[in-house]
Order: sequence, then C-alpha cells, then structure tokens
Amino acid sequence: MTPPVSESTLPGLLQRNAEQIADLPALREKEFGIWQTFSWQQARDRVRDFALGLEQLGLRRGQAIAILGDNRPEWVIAELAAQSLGGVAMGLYQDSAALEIAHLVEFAECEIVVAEDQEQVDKLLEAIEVSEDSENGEEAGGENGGASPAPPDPFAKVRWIITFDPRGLRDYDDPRLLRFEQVEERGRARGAEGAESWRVAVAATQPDDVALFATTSGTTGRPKLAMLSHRNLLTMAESFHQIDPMRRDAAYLSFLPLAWIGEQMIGVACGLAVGFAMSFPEEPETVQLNLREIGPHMMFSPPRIWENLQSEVQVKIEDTSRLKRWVYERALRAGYARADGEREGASRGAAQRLRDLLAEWSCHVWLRDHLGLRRVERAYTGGAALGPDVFRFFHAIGVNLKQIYGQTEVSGISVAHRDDDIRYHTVGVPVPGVELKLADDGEILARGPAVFQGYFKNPEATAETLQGGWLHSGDAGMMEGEHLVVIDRKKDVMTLGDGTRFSPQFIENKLKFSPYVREAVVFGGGSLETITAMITIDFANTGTWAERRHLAYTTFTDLSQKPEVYALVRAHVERMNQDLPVSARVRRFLLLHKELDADDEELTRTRKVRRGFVAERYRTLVDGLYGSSDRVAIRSAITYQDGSSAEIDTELKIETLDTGAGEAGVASASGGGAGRESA
Amino acid sequence: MVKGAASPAGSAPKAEPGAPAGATAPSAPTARDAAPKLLEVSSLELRFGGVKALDDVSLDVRRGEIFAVIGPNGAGKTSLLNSISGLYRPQSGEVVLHTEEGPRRLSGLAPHAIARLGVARSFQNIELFRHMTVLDNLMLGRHVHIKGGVVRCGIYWGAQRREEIRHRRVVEEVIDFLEIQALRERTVGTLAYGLQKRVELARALALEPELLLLDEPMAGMNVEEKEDIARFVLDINQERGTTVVLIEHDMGVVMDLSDQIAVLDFGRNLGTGTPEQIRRDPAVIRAYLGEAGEALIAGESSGDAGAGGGTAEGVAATANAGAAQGESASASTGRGSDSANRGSSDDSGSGSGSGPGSGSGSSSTPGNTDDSRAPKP
Repeated sequence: MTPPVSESTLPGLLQRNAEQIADLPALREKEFGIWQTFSWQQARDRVRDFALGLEQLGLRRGQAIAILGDNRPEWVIAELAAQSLGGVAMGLYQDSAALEIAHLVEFAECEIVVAEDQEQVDKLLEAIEVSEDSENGEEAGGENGGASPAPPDPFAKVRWIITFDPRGLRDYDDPRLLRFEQVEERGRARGAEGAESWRVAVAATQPDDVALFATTSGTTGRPKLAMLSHRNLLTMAESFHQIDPMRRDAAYLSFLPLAWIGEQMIGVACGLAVGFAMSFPEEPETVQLNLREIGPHMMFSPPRIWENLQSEVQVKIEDTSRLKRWVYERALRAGYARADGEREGASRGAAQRLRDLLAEWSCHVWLRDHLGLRRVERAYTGGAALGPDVFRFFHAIGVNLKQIYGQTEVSGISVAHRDDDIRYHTVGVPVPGVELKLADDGEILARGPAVFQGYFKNPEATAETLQGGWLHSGDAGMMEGEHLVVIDRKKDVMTLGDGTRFSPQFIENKLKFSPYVREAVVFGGGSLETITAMITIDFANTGTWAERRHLAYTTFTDLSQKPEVYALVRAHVERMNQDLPVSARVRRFLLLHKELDADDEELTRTRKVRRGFVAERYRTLVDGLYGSSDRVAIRSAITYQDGSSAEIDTELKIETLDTGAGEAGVASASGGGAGRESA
Repeated sequence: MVKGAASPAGSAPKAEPGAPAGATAPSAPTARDAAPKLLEVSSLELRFGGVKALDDVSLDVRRGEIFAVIGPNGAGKTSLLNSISGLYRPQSGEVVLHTEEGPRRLSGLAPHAIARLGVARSFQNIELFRHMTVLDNLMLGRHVHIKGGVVRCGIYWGAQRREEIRHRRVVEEVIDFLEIQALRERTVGTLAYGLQKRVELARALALEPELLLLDEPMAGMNVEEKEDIARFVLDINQERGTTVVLIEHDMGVVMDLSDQIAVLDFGRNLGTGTPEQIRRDPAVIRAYLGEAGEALIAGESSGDAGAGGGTAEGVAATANAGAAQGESASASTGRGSDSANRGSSDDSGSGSGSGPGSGSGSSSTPGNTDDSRAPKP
C-alpha cells in the first residue's frame, strides 16, 4: 500500500486495483458447483455499469440505498456502485423482519432497495403494505427515531426494488421491481460516455463522504444508523494491516452478514486496500464445505461461530470410535500444555517438542482441516466476549485466535491482540491511530480518525456518544499493563452482596462452554443476594445426546424439561462453580422452554442477548428464581412471522445448587471484578 | 391389492341439501382445450388376475399443466403411472405421447425407451442408490442421454469429456434449482427422509423430461417439507415449463397446485375437472372426501365442521379442502411457505402447543394428519 490508502475511497481503490492488478481475482462465487472468478477489472466494469444504471434510476450524491440479502458478489457490487456516485450503502441483516426493514428503509430515506430474492422482496412488499395501511394512523416513533419528524408518506419513497435472484418472482408485477442485470444493462448502454462520466463521479467522491450506514447492534432499543466515511474505514484498514500484514493472495471467505461492520471492515475495506479476493459461499448451508475448499488465511467471526465450531468438535468426538477419541484426548491435552506454556513464555524441552509434533500430526492438523482452518494464519473473534475456555481450545489445536475489541462506531476495531502477546482474558492493545482511555467510572473511551461521523438524523444520540470528541463505548473496562480488559456493558456490571463487582457475561460465557448450552442469562447483583441463571439448551446437540441415550422427546420444551437434561446441565454448572469465587457461583438455574430468538427481540441480529428486555419479558421466571419453589409457571406470547401471536402455558423446573456459600458466604473480596480469573 | 380398505368414503350416500350443482364431466369449452395435448390415455384396462386395477381409464394431459390424480388407497393411481411409464403392460387401451416429432405410442415400449422420449418419474417409495452420493445418483439419472459406452467413458477424452461436462452442467442446474448444493457429496442413505424425497425428485428432473410423473412426492413429510416440495413443483412447472402428473393424498396441496384433477376409485375414472369442479362434484365427494366432505361442501363451515365424522384421513382432507376454499388458492402455496416454516419452528419451542392455530408443528411423528394447521383468516 504505497500511497496512503486513507486518502482514497472504496471505489477509488477499486479503480486503482482494476488498473494495477487488473487480472488478479477480486470476487469469487461458487455457482453450479464451480468457483467462478471475477478479476478486478471485471469487478470494476460491473460496478461501473451498475452505478450508471443507478444514476439513471435517480440515485443522487449523499443518498442511501438499502441492500438486503445473503453474501453475494452483487451485494458488494451494489455497495461500491452506490459509493462511486457519492451515495451511501446501508446493509440490512438478511433475517430482519419486515417491520424492522420498514423502519430502517424509511428512516434512511432510501429510494432504491437492492433485495436478493423472493424472500426479501416479500418482506419489503409486506413492509410497504403495512406502512401504507398505517399511514393515516399514528407513526410508531421509536425513542431514537423520534428525533426527527417522520415523513408523511414514507414508502412512497421506495421507487425501485432491484433483485438478483429471479427465482419465484415470475408472477410479481409490482412496477417497482427490476432485475440486477437490467440495471447493469442500462449502464452498459451508455458506453464510452458513461465510462467517462463514472470516472468523474469516482474522482468527485471524497474520503470524508459517508460510505456506509451501519446499523448498530443495539442491545438497547431500536437500531441506530452510524455514519462511517471512506476515511474512517480505510484508516482502520491501514492500521489493521500494520499490526497484522495481509497478503494479496490471501484466501478469504465472506460468510457473515455484510451488514455487520466486521465483515465490511475485513472483507470489503481490507480486501480493497490490500487487493485480496473475497469469496462467497454457494449457499448459507454450504459454508462449512466452502471453508474447506477455500482454506482461508484469515477469519474474523463473532464468538458464536467459534463456540459452534468447538461444540461441534466436542459432539462429534463423542460419536467417534474409541481409538480416535483416545488420540484426540491425548493430543488435546498436549495441545493445552503447549498453549499454556507458550502463554507463560516457558521454553520447551526436546521431549515436549516431540510430543507437540506427535499431537500436531496425529490430530490437530486433521481437525483444523475439517474445520476449514488449516491455512488460517490469524483468526479473530470480535463483536462480543469469547469465553477463555473456547479461546484456550483453539490455541490448543493450533489456531492463532485473537480478540478484537471495537464498536461499529470506530469502524469495528480499536483494540486487538498482537501475535505473540495473547492473553485470553484481555482484548489486547489499542491499534495504531486509536487513542484509548478510561473514564473515571471505568467506561472505555476511544478517539481517532476511525471514529464515526455521528448517527444519521439523530444529533442527540451523537452528542451523547461523542462527548468531547471521545467515543463513549458504554463498556466498563480496566487496564492490565498495556492490555485492555473489558468487564462487561457498563450498566450490566453487577455488584454482589459482599461488594464484589462482577461481570455476568463472564459467567454466561463459562456456562456456554458446554455444547449443550446455547444461551445463558445470568441475574444477580444489586438487591439480589445470589446469582441465578436462565439457560437455553442447544437443541441439536442436546437432542443428539438424548437420542444416544434412547431418551424420547418431542419438542424443544419437552426436551428442555427432562430430568436427565437438567442433570446434564447441572453437572456442568457444578463443575463451573468450582472455578468461580464463592459469591459468584450460580445458586439456582432453570432451563428455558424456548430458544431466545431475534424475531422475539430477545437477541440482536448479531445474536447478542438483550439482557434488559429478557429480564423484563421473563419477570415471572426471575421472580421464580429468587423464590423458594422449585417450579415456576410461565405464560408467554409467541409472535409468529406473520405477525399473529399465541399464548402458551408452561411450567419450568428450577434447580438449586449448593454453592458452598452457606449463610456466612466467605467473600473473595477481590474488589475489582473477578471476571479476570481464568481456569 | 386391497381395494378400498382404507377408503374413508361414507357408505351411505345421502343427498346433499344445498350443494351447488357440479359437472361430473365438464364439457364446456375452455382455454384449456386450446392447449396442445401432451399425453393421451384412452380406455386403459389393467388386470391382475381377476382384479381390475384400471378399468376403462381415459384422460388427457395438456402441455404445461399440473395434472393431479387423486383417489383412495388402492384406487389405481400408481398403476396408472406405472402403465404410462412402461412398468406395467395394460391389457388394452392406449397411451400416446405427443412429442415434438409427432405422436408416439408408449404402450409396448420399454421403460428406458419411454424415458428417452422425455418421460421421467419419481417413486412413492424412494428408489435411489443408497450407497452412492447424491451427485452420482443424479448423473445416473441422465444415463439414457449418455451416448458413450464403457470404453469411451473410461478413456474420458475429447468428445466424451465434453459430453460428460455437459451432463454435469444439467445436473448442477437441477441441484441449484432444488437447493441441494450442500448435499452433493453426501451418501443418499445418510440423508433424512424428506431430503431423500427431494433427491428423488432431482433425479427425475435430471432427465430433463417434458413430462414428469410424481408418485406422492410429499408422502410422509411434515408441513414444512410439504410446503417446500409444493413450491418446487410449482417452480418446475412454471419456470422449466415441465408438464407434471402428480399423485397426492394431501387435498390442500392438490387443490392448490393443480390445473386439472382426475379422480380414480376402484380403477375407474370418476371425473376430471378443475379443482373447483372436483370440489363440487357429488360423486367425487362421496367417494373420496367422505361424509365429512359433504358436510363441508354443503357450506356449513370450514375446518372443524367435519371433525365429528369420518376417519382421520377424511378429517385431514376436509380441513385442507376448507383451507383451499379460501380465495387465492393457487397463489398461496409459494408465498406462504416462509411464514408457515417460521410458525412450525416456533411450535417446537412452544411445546404443548395448546394455543389455537399452533398446530402439531414439528412433532416427532411426521406424516399422517399434520396438516390440521389451517391458515389463519
């Protein structure tokens, strides 16, 4: 990266790559069983054609288009096309419900929506109908959206819906529908004159123009739209490249939602800046297969992905032959010893090295190969905290997994582990260009060129988040030497009866280490004397476990309430409690009768638990956990996707454990957040 | 053949009070008559010893339509398909396929010769090579089109190589169409039943047929899987232009999908017509939908009206017929699938599912009467 990338724009870099490395691959997609490659030049041509088409459809400088769909080349082409005209791309999570989409499209004042297929088009049309119906009624002004007066006729604004998978859309006669190729065709028809005018448009786009509206994950309230400029994204890509140099021939599989800042950062911004190709999976179901085929050199995923991979290994090992299990267990033990040794900086003797080598070639290499991690040089986790146990597991099998900490508002990354300085309980050291400090109350603040431009149409929220030029993260943290330790969301940090500060997330991550636990929500602190947990089982893994034991079950609820399953989870909780200070041990828990679901607003679209909402929604359960009965009845409303809802009565068991606290409760008054302890 | 053993038909036919007069043999000229015939079956008669499996069955299938054959168990539906595809040799009558090159008599041709003319079929009980991968099964599905012999294919060079690539492309298009990319290298025997049925459909489709014969493609599936297959059948018909002859028990699906329906009972064709005509045809109602169906047709109410009488199958059929009676019957299947999927996965979380409209969802017993979930008004 010779000229400073941060003085360019994303489409500017596309232009550069199309000239300098025209024939190298830019985008890859598996279609009809074969990986199809677009070179940088071809990618540029498609972006140009699509952009010129968009221009004809009336996209103006500064205006946003919404993009809704799975990861495909067309997604990125649409994004870059809009940006090349000085427009803004707003990615929407593909599993968003119709109403969420309606709110965002309306709020961002999009006139053009790029929607992948029939499923997404249906949601849009539904959203349009809903909003047209409620036009005369009151506008649902959210606490964030309320900042600006809602336009009187919101969806009259959407003029074009552009789709790129025509399957099933043959009978749709909505005049707003256009196919992706039709738009490209319009652009292509403009020929040389068009190419010139596009070149001018790209040159006119400035580094400080807004490139993205990123929906923030919003563990609280409705999503906000963070405005990120080209400079924001590209300085971050530059800093990131400085600490972890990326190769131009790196393989990269883009399988996480492109609406997520992490994917935008690594896949799009770094991809353009460094010039490596983005590959897209064939279908969401084939990601695991495609990972193996592509063999990525780097991977950035939220904890959920790592947790799933790890439970998959655990579950499959249970099913394998005894010999293999024996080898795995021996090799894993050796791997743990090596990983722990490396962390402490101890030197390895010859015998140990031999053992490492044996473990590596008898097991770890093949395991990594199956997970598609064989060529991974650096793997990252970010977006939420990953439990130390999962961390340690991946290091044991030889995956260089590192933590990244950051928010959408700093283009994704402000702190990261360095290669030879990985501590599982910290999130690492600030990346170059990011200035970090802790406020008096422990809140993590950041400053630098990657900090965003503010929230779209929401000056109050912007002012609140950007006090004095510092980005207020809302997270509580502390420094451990150079390293930053993130305790939890500031408002979630709990103070136990004995004055200890504690992170519920830390306990939750420990709970989630079991392959049979999918989500956990921990309560306690404040006026609540003990710690309790609400746990949802992992249906697939627990189901397999039950089948192996010839335990018959029908539904999720049925399975979750089996005494055997309670015993299974109880054993895990008891083991976990051993590692925790007495006052932080889980005293009572229950297994929830349903999975937490983003459609029920219990999770964010990036699958983080919305703790406050869950606590409110399951108030009776929380009361039950702090009552004395070992059963609690719950009536819950289930919302179906079509908007209708039903009420269901269930009775849940509550398990009580001996935490060894007794009445006296020997406090481990360590003062500042026991979340730091690791096994 | 155990004829009529499972027929839910009420034995006492009674005059239905206010039933709209249905046409047993619709004869009014329609747009359909203008469409060219693809398959013509005339006076087919098939006997096994003293048992008449097919008795003077005549029907014609037009190009581009979805033609359903319904009837109680043992009515001769599968025998009809077998007679068309050449597995059975009817004693008398004729089957003619109107190909591009002109009419061809299928009667007397071997199954593989019929397949080469563009007739593919799927079987009620999955007929795949269980120990081969999905991909190999599909490539095998194209066997009749592969020209090279053992030696040429073994050398795999030049024209032969190009040919195989061409076949693979067709297969890949089918894989894409039926969304089974993730299954390519999986061994068929390890797949779940619903997926095997889908692969079976893919195998038939790999032949690039003009006429696709589907024998209960949705048998034993849960609601969610049925919705998927129904959508695929619609797409096959409309996007690939394939004419489909379909045997199906689920009346909701049949009423939703079909352009034409023929009703068989004891090997005889009771009538052919549009879903609307069939639904109103008293003879059909009596033979197939049972008394519960009659009550329904009498217009008392939908859904639960029939719950009092009839067998389980009768009730299920009633509920479905009721469902289909809603206005936009044919359009709803494709688009409704998402919300239905969503609904049933929620059910798995809701457990006892006592609430109205929560249905039986994804219980561990797929198959039987799980279609009781009626769409909400």
